[in-house]
Amino acid sequence: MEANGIELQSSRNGLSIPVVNGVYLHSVYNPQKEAESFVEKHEQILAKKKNIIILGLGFGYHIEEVAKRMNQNGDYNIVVIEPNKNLVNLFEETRPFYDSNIQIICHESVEEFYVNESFVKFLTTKPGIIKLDTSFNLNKDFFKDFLTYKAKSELGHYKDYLTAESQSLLGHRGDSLFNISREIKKQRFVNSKKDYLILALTEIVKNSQEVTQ
Amino acid sequence: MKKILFSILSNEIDLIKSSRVINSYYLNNPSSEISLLCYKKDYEAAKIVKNVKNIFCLDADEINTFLNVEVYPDALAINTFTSNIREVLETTWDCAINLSNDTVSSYLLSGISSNEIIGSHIGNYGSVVTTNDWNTFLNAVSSKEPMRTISIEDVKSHMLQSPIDTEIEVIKVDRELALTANTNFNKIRGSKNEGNAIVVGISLTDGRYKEYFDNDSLIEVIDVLETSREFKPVLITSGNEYEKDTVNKLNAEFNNSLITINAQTQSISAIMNNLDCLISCSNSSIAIAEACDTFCIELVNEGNLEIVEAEGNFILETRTSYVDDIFYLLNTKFQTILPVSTTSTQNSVYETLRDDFGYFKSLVHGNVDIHRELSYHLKRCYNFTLLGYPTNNELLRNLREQIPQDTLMNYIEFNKEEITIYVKTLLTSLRSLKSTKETGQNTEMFIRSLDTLISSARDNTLASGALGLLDGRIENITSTDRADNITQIEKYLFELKSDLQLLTNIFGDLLSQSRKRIIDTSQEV
Repeated sequence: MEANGIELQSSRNGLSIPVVNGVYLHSVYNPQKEAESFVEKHEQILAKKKNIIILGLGFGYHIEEVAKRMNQNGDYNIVVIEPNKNLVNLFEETRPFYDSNIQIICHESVEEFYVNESFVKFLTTKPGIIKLDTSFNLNKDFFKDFLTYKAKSELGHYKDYLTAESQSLLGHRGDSLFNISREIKKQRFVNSKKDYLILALTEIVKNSQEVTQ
Repeated sequence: MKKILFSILSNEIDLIKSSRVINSYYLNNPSSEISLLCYKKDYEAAKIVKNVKNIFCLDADEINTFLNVEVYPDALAINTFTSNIREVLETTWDCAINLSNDTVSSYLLSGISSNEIIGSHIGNYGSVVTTNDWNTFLNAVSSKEPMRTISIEDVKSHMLQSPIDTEIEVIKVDRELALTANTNFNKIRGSKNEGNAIVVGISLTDGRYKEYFDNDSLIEVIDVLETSREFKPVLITSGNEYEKDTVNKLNAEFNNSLITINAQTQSISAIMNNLDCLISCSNSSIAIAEACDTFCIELVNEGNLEIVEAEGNFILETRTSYVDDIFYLLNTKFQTILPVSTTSTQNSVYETLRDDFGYFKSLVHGNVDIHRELSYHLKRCYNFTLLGYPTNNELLRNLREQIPQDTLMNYIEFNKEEITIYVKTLLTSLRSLKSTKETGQNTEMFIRSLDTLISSARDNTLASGALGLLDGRIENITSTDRADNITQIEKYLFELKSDLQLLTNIFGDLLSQSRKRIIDTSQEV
């Protein structure tokens, strides 16, 4: 069966394996056993972390095995990063996860991940990161960009992601927060309450407990 | 109902310490609805402050992460910030108060809608605006003092023009937790001394300056208390890993017989209310114990500021082994006879007291550094005088009667020399200011001498209060007109002159009539 450039084949032990551009995302012999080896390989990080990011959905066997391992330690959360929307759709139609602790996030551009609030909140928990080699190699550029991403400092670039209150606070300003704050301080006269709020926000970063002066 | 917003964007200890100021304000302004703005990390502490209707939290950790880590766009920090303070911005406050005197609150309060602001905030010209002399003192003097002359609670209550009530309850106690704690503590109390054991809590949590109760001292204190007839020690932890290690080590020493209570912020008030005494480093547990009126012995490393100020507690400033001092203090408080191997340790013990002026501490045990003690009490007396209180003549009389005259003379001579230097700089300032005003000359000398005066506020001398007030008053000048500015500065320099004269008057009062010698700055001018 082939759909949207993804061919679904059966492994020797009867499990579905996606083949993308001729690349088998899992072992053609025994994806299950391969998944167990995957967990063994990452045992150290799985034992230490409650939250894990897995780069590459494949067809989920390695992820279910990771979940099984992490369940031994109690609470856990797994976020799967997959850039191929068609693969995600095929997976959801064929054998979706029933474990609510696993979440697949799929965006076309890397930037979209870093403005996705729930993903960002997850990132702030400092999760462990592991990769499915076949998926990773297939989307090397994407994952490389994902792992080395640096946000743009200009706020104008993120206008669509700012809430209405944030947009109202910034007004027409599109520079970086620190440049905006510097500009406000350069003015002889602070004439807007919103300017004070921007200065308050930048002061939080400097030192929350400094005495005024 | 008047909507009052207290901003405390500092730390948990400051927030708990502020509970008395807030509740005294509420008592004096019963038609107020109190809201509190704090950092999310301090939310649990904010929840136990009585009479607070709403709590708004700023998630500084998240904002810091979004702004400091390169992968996150600043937009996320702004979203968090605006969402955190949405309700604060949507409300028109009758009064907004910067109680923690921090920079973030100073900007925030200027950015919200409020009919009145009390406390430091930022004016239109970007400089600090203080709302009265007590606020100026808090901002320009208290924040720089290595040894506090006027307690922060007293300064803040004066800033709010709301007298401190030392009797009212300021910390919430959950009724169910209180019942459970009561039952459990009755059992503990029943285990000794015919059912009347004196229960002593020992907090294992490190202090805010990383002070800690060392293991050997802990073992010795626990051992003596356990073997005594009257006392029963209880270990109080706040769930940190290092505390668990300490508990394990101590239990290994005492055959697993020790009672340990893991007290989280919400339950700690119920526990503190049941203790007869808490021995602790400077941490939030002792701040809560003090707020609950539990008798406290605070262990402070020499040079660090203490937390406890309420009357009837002890501060143990440690230099060497302090176990004997603890036993001495317990014996003093509870009239017991715990074994004390030496009464002359290198440590200083202060008792916290309150007089007509406010809280103060008095050295009750340990080596007397007479200059340090004189400086503390005279500075306190002088600072209160600067802020409009009458001179504490009782203190001066006591010092006159109890300090050898030679010592007093030497001390005053030494300090007069320092004041003379300030007076000379002040006179240079005034002279060069006059010439700047009249001819436009000597401006550089004027600025230099003014700078010297302002930076001298950090010298930690008797005159620091007056110099700090000068600094704060000048900071408050908002006029953009040069002539106006010069007139204002001149006014403040003359105020400093009178303030320094007050100090020389105090010196004069201290000396006997025959040896009275006052620096009369007005003559020099």
